[in-house]
Amino acid sequence: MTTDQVDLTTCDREPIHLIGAVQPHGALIAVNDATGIVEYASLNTATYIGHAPETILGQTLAFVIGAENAAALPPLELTTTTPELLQPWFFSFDGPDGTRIDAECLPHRSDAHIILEFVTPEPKPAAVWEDELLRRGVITELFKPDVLGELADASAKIIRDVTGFDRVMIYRFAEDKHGEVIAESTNRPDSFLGLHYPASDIPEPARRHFVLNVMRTIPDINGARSPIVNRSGEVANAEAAQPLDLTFSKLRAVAPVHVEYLNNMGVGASMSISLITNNSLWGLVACHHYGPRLVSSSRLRFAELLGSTTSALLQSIENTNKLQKSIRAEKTAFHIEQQARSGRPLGDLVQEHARDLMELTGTQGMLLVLGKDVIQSGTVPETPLDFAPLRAQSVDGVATTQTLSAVVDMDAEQMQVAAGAAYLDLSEDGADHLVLLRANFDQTIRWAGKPEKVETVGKDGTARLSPRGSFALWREERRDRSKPFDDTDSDALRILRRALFALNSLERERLARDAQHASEAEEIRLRHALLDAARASSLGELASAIAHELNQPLSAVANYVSACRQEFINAKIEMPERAGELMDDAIAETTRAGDLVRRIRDFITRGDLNADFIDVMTAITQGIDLAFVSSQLPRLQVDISAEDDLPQVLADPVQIGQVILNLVRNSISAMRTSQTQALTISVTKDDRDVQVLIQDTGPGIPAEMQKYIFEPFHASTTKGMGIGLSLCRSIVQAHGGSIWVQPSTVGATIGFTLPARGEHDE
Amino acid sequence: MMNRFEENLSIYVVEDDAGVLKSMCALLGAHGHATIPCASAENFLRVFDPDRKACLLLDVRLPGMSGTQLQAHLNELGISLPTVVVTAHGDVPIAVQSMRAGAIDFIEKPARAEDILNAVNMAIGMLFNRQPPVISKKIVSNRLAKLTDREREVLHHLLLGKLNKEIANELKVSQRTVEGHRSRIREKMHARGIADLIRMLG
Repeated sequence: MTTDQVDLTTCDREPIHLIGAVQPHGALIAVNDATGIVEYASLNTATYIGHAPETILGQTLAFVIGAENAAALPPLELTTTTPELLQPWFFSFDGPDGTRIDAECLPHRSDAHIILEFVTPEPKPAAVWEDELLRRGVITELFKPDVLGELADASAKIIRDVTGFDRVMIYRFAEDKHGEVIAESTNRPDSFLGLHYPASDIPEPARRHFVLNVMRTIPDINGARSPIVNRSGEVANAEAAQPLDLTFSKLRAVAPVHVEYLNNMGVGASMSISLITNNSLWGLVACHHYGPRLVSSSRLRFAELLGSTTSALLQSIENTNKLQKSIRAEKTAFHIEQQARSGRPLGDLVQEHARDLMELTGTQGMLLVLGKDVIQSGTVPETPLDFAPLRAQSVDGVATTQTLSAVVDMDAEQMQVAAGAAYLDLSEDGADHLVLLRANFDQTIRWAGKPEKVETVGKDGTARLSPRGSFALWREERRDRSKPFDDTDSDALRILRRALFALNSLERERLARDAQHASEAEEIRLRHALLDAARASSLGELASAIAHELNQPLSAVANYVSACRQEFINAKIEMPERAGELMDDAIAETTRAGDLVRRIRDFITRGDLNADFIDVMTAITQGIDLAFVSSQLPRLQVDISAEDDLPQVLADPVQIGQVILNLVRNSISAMRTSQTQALTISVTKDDRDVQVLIQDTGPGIPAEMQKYIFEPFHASTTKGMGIGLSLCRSIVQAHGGSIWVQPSTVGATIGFTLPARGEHDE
Repeated sequence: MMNRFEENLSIYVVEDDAGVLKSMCALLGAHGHATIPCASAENFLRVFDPDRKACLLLDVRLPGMSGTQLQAHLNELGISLPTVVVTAHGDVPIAVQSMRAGAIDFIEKPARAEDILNAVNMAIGMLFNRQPPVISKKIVSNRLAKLTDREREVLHHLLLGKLNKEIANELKVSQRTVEGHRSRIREKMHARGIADLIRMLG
C-alpha cells in the first residue's frame, strides 16, 4: 500500500488554527479590542506596513496606521460567525520614514482581538469587474446548465479562466464524507476526473475550516512562513501560554502535513473555495498550480463570488433534482395505484414497474416477497438471503444499508449483487416486503480518469500520497459496500413504501374477505348447479338458435367452395390436384362442423341420440386422433389396449368421440409439465357394459375436487368454461352409462361405461 | 351444364340468409342453372312468373310468410311447381309436412353440394315428366317384411313426424329402446334417413 507513511487521521487532532504563523504573502497584527494596543505581530510586518514587529508591539493601533484610520475601524462590522466574502479595507497612512503607504487590509475579530491582515494592494483593484467579456461569459455559462454535472463543468472552466491555475477540480462530498471529482478543467494531460478519495484525505479540522472560511489560498507551498510573536517575543502557537486563534485568518500558514501532501503531487500553489449548501460542506473547488502562483486580490474576490454563486446554483439544482425524484416516485406510485384500482394484483404491477422502481432508487435488483410468493427482477443473489435482520433496523417500515454484509450473513456471490439494500415493509407482520438491491460499488462506479498515471514512490524511495494512491485506498475502503443511500433515495423509498404498503393492505383485506366468503360462495355454487336443471330449457333454446346461426354461414361456405370448384371446371382451368383436395377438405370440415353443431343441439334440446350399434373402438380412435391434432407433447407415450371380442354399443359415435376428445385433452393439458407423459387407455367388457379407463401421469385430481369436477361451470382446468366434463357426464348418462373418477396412485384416472349390445337388443 | 338444352328454365331460390342465398345461387349458377334469388316468400310472389318454366328451392324457415305457408298458398292457387324444401336439421315434422304438401325432396342444412344438385336435378326432371327414381314396391315390401311389429309401429310414428321422446312415451318404452328400433329400421329399410323413408312409403 502506498499510504502507510502518511497517516492523515493524525491531523484530526492537530490544532491548525493555532499554528502561530502566516504565509509570506502578507503580514498580520492583532490589536486588543478593549485597549487598542497591538498585542501580536508577524515577523514580516516591515514589508507590508513599514514597521518592524518590535516597534509596534505594545503600541496603539493609531500609532501604526494613524489616528484617522484607527478611528474608522470600530464601525466596521467584524463578524466571525458566518463565512463571508472577502471585505478588503483600503486606506493609506504615513510610514515610520514618512513615506505614504497604501494598504489593503482584511480585518476580522478573533476573541478579544481584532486581527488585521495586510496584503500587497493591487494598483487597479476593480479591474476584473471591468472585463465585460468575462462577465458575459460567466452569466451565460453559469446560469444556462440545469444539470449538476454541467454546472460543475462550467464553474471549473470559469474559475480556471479567472485564476489562471493549471488545474481546477470540483469535488463533491458524499454523506460518508468521501470525495469524488465531478468536474475538472486543466491544461495538464492527466486527469483526476471521476476519482474518489477517502474521507481521511481531508481531515476533520480542515473540513471545519472549509466551512468557516470559504476561501483558502496558498500562493507558494514552500514559501517561508512568518511566525507571529507577542509582546514578549514568544511565538503565539499552540504551545504558547496565550496562542492566537487564526481560525478566520486568510494568511494562516500551511500545516506541514498538507505541505507534504501537495508537494507529493508536485503542486506549487493551491487555492480552494468551499461549496456550501444548507450550511454544510457540499463540496470544494480545488485549484492546483504546478509552481507558485499569486492571484491578485480582485481576482480572488471574483473567484470567491463565483464559488458562492456556484454553491447557490448547486443547491437549487440539487433541490430540483430531489424534488424531481420525489415527483417521479409519486408518479410511479400513482400509476401503480391506478392500475391496482382496476383489480390487477400488486405482484404483477410491481413486476411490471420493476425497471422504473429500480431506476428510481438506483438499484440493480429487486425482490418482492408476498407471503410465500417471491417475485424477482434484475440482478439478485442466486442463493436467497434472509432480510429479517435488516428489517429489525427499519424505521417507519424502511431500512437502508450500504453494507448489507454487516447486517446479514452472506457469501461472496451474494455480496457482489447485494452489497447494499433498501428494505420496505409492505405489511405490519413483515411477511410481505420489497427489497431493492445495490450491487458492489466497484461495479457501479464510473471510472473516467486515466488510471495509468499513478505516482506512488518518490525519488527518495519513500511512499507518497497521491490522488491515485488515495483512489486505491478508497477502493479498498469500498470493498463489500454499495453506493450509499442518500436523502434523495430515502425520500423516494418512503414515498414508494407508503403507496405500496397501502395497496398491499387493501389487497390483503380483499383476500381475507374472499376467504371469509368462500363458504358462502360454495353454497352459491351448489345452488347454481341445482338451477342447471331449470336452465336446461332455455339452454336448449339457446343451443337451437346458435345451431341455426352457425349452420347458415357453414352452408354458405360449403356452397361457395363447391361453386368455386365448378367455376374452375367451367372456365376449363386445370386446377392443381392439391387445390382440389384442399377444397374437398374445406367442404368436409364444414360438414363436420355442421354435424357437431346439430348433434350437440339435438342432445341439449331433446336428449336425442343418433344412436347406432357401433364398434366403440372406432369412436375412441377418432376422439383420440382429434385430441392429438392440437397436442403439443412430443414425448407423450400413448398406450391403447382393448379386450378381445368387445361387444358393440348402442351409441352416437360423434358424441362418444366428443367424450374421448374432452377426456384426452384434459389429460394432455394436465401432463404439460410432467416428467413422464404417458396416456393409458384400456377398454374392457363385463356381461353388461363396456368400460373405458383413461389414465394420465399428470398431478391428479385433488380429493376435494373429485366430487365437483363433473358439475357444470366448475373450472377445474384454467382453460375453457368448465362445461367439458359436465358435458361428458351428460352424454355418458344419456347413453345409459356412468362416469367417475377412479382412485389411482399415478395421475388421474377417469372411467366410464356404455351398455353393451345384449341379447335383448336383437 | 346438365340442362344447357333447357335454357328458359329457372330456379327460384327462396332464402332469407343473404350469405346462403348468394352462395346457393353461385353453386347452382356454376352448374349451369339460371337462378332467381328471393329474400322472402313475399319477394318470391312478387317476382314469380307463371309462364316461366321453373322449380323452387325453398327454405322453410323464413321471416313473414313461412315456406310451408307459401307451399299451401301455391297449392290453393293451383300452381304446381317442383319444390325442394330446405330445412334445418332434424325438423322432421316440418319435412314430413312439406313432403305431404307436394315437395319432391328435402335437404338439411348444411347440405353437401351433391345433395343440393341431386335434389334440384330431380325437380327439373319432374318438369320434363321424369319421375323421381322409385324403388319398386316389391323391394319396399320385402324390406318392410323384415321389420318386427314393434319396429313397424315405431316406423308409423316416425312417418307422422314424431320425436323419439313422444314415441317412447306413447309406446311406454325407454327413449333408448326407440333409438335402438330406429337404428334397426334404417338398417333393414336401407334408408339413410327419414327423407328416404318418406319417399319409399309416402
